[in-house]
Amino acid sequence: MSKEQSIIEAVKNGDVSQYEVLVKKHSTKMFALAMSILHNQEDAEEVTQDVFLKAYQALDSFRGASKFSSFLYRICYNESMNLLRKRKIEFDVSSDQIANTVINDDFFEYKKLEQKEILDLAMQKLNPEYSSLLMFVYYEELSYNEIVEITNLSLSNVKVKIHRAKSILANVLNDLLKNDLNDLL
Amino acid sequence: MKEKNDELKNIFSELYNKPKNLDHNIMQKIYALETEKKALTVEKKKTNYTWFYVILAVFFVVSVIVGLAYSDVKNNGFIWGVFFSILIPLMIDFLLRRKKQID
Repeated sequence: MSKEQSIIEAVKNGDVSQYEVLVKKHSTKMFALAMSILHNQEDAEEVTQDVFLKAYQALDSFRGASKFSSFLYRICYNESMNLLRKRKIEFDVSSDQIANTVINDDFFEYKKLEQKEILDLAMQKLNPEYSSLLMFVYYEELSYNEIVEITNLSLSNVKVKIHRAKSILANVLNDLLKNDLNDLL
Repeated sequence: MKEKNDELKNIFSELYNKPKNLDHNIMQKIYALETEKKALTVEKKKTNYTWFYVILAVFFVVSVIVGLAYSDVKNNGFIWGVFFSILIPLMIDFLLRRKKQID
């Protein structure tokens, strides 16, 4: 039994304080995923709290067949998408706007702080499904199979969508870089 | 290409920093949920007095039969008065408790 699995068993047996170990380990990733979809700190914070509450309530149904992080990601992804549906938020960039593009070298020459702000702007323009897929690939470094498990998409669909997401991100970033940086930030 | 991807990974990892008190807030909610659960369990386990009153009622019926069979009601009015003055409030209490449980 892995260390994480033994912590989960301890929580199931009533040691609530052990749950804090799991919260500390996974909250950063859940918050980042929620932020990549919602782009609003308060909403992302609320969703992250709900994710851990729901996971706690459903802990008895978690048998350990998949990773605990995948279990959390699935709740987080669904919760964030549900919140978006409720808010009916629309996005600037259409999912159909695809061109096989790579990110312009200029982007990598900016200072880190500027890069972060440009990337944040670009992510806000993406469809949430694409921005979340990019988070899974670049930040979480999940395998395709894990992404399939979380999003309930087919494997081929995940591959296609990730490819599209990368191209759209590159397009949006390159468009942003064409403008004057001072206007952007 | 790999270097660019790695750099992109680094920027992504620094893009969304969680608020400082997030973990604390989550645990507060978990503890609140747990307290609520415990309160509900305690409420459910409240003592049920029904059996006590059933036994009391049986005892009452038996004692009335015995009383009627062996004692002279007219000459033992005081004892019967004491008996009913204890029993009637107990019966009212039983009925009120039962009504509360139903509500």
